[in-house]
Amino acid sequence: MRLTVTDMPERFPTHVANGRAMSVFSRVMNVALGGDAGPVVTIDARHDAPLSPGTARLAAPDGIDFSRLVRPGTGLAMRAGILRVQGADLAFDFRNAATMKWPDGATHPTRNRAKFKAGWVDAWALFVDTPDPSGFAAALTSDPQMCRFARALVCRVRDTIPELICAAADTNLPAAWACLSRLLGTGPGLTPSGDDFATGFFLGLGAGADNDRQQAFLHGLTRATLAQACDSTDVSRACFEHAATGCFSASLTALVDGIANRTDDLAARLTEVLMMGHSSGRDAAFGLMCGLSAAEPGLRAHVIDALDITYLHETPTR
Amino acid sequence: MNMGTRIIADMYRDSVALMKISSAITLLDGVNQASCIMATPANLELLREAGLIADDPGARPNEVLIAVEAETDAAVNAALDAAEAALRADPVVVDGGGVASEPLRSIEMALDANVQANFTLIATPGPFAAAEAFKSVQLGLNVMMFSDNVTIEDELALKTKADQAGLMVMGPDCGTAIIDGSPLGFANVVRRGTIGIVAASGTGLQQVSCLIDAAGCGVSQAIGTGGRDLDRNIGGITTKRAIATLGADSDTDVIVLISKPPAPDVAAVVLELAVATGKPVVACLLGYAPEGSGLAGVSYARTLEQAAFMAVTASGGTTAAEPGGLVAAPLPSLNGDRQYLRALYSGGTFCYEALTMLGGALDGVHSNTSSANTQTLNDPWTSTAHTVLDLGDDLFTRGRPHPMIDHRLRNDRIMAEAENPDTAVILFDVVLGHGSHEDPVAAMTPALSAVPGHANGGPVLLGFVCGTEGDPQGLARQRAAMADLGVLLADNNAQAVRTAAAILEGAQ
Repeated sequence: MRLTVTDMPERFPTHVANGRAMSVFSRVMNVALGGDAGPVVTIDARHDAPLSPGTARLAAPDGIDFSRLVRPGTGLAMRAGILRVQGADLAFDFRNAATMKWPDGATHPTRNRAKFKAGWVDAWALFVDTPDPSGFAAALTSDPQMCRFARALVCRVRDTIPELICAAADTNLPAAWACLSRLLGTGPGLTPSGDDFATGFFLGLGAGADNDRQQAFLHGLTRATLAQACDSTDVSRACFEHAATGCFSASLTALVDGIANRTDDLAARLTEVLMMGHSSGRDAAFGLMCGLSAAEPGLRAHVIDALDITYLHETPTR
Repeated sequence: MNMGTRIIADMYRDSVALMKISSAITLLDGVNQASCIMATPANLELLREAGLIADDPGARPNEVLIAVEAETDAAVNAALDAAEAALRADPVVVDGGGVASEPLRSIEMALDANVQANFTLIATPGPFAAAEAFKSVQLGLNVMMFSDNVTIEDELALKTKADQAGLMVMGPDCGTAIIDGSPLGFANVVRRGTIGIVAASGTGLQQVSCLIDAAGCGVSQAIGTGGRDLDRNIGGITTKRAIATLGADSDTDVIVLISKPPAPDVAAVVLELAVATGKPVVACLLGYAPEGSGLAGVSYARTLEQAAFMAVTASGGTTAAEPGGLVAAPLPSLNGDRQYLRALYSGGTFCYEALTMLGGALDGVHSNTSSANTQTLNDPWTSTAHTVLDLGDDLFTRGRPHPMIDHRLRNDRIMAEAENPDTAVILFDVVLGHGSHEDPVAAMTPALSAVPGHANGGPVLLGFVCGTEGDPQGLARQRAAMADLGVLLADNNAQAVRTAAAILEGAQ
């Protein structure tokens, strides 16, 4: 079966490259092409899949289930625009795929502060009211049955995120990096929760940055993260590389836009983000909200309260 | 409490799968805590904080780590086994949906079955070869065209298209290559080493690679380009790409270029490219005379034997003997009125090398191969004076196997030359390796044994074996069989040609 790819990332190696399937889900596969330093690409066969960096979207029949055709680790090869999967009757035809052009610049909600603050509060309420204890969001709930690993993770999140937000508000790069580096790579799964959180956090900071100092801070934090990305999974590394060039999932940027303009469909936009992966969307949304909150003391308090770290709230650094 | 960990390499699972497995094994008897995580340093730190590991388990971020705390060692091991089994459980049913697999009938079907293949070897009859080669390039595959009888227009179009796509076309009429240690076509089993060869000459490549092997050195890659690649019409497209490949190859220390007569301007360009790689270059471009003393950084060899010697020396090896000598055995005198050389080659480059060596040494050398100082045979089926034949030429092979595979044509010619009272020396090559006859000397024995021996007034039988001890036919076994048949044995073609000339000059 040969499936037609409709959109593919820029600089995608379409001629000759070998690789392997890294992770396989029912309608999504992550593949690594071109050796250890090569790109990690997501092949997304979901209907109406949003534009995401490093993602190739394709038309596929309803019944297709990659997880029943391909096992993780399976070899694959790109030859003249066709990506074939070893041992499976499955190939992806990239020859007529359009190259995704990523829009430059992000929405800057801080340019209309009143609307932004109202939008953020709406989104935050929707976020914390959605019952799901997975990923970092588990830190916003109380679960006495939590295993020891999850408990350690929650403790770290509760300790670290408030400090991270305050350090970001101060554009204090050493302090922010000290916090973020404690979160990166934490959490189970192919893209650890800390990495998804960081991706959202970068987008939130970038959207809220409206001066050179904030831009320089974001740049420094992103570069530090990229430098440490070898300590995380290949898929996370790819996400960070896209984030460093200002490329984020269309769902995430749509959520920023929804918050900035307090759009009527804010709930739908948030839901679309939450549907990404198992906890990836939720962690990214959490990071996004935290990154945006760095721009407004009042918003930071919402996050800090929710994490129940009252001492920071009681003695704000600003 | 007892703790244990297990690392599962190159395993990727999403958080749902890992959390489900963690939960399942936590419920096993005697297990207190269990976690399956991607082993990032940060997660390992959290596991230490949670008291589930004490030391660094040595896991990497792309590996899954299973950590278990249980009441007994047995429970720890049972939980680790259960978790690993769950991780490795194959949810995939790859059975083709009950459809029986079809036999492979096209290059694309073969590529579907072996998706990481990057190379097509085409050995169809010439008229079909170009089309299959175009398909291969279209599919993103490098090509080796064993086939001959491909037009030069097709060759140019094919090589241009491949080059634009970053691919290489070896051939047409590329009989030999050794790629990543795999012998292709008529290739010999040689040691792997640091000498890279680019050859527009099949038997030239075989001779040099075998002599390198005999000197105890080895070959990194041996890339055949097809005999016309250094023609002005082709412009060395494949040779240039091969030089760039060897230049970038960290396993190649020395580059050897071999060809039959190249177009001088094309030769000059490829030599400059080779020098630009910064690696020592040995050039054996038979019939090519560089301007002046040639390019700095290039060692020019006049024979294949000398090329091998220079390459071995440049790579730091040593050879037993310098090139230029004759066979070790005493040279026989000629019987009666026998006065002419009849060289019957299966290898085209051997034929051309012989012509370049004999052109100034003997008068009246005739051949079916055009060369300076030689005359073209009016009738290649009948020898005239000194005759040097390439029996692998299209004229002889159209509609029949190559003489390296089927010895009948040459056997007939040996018998005919032996019956000719003018024939003084019958010189021939025996080429071993993959693709060649499984026991060539045995195949030639009926003819060689029917030739009247030199002691009985017959011609001198002079031969050499191009092969290695690793070849399926065995170099020593073939040489011993030739010696038993009364053949005067040379170590290589150049030595055989010098010996033939010496025998004939001695008679004069």
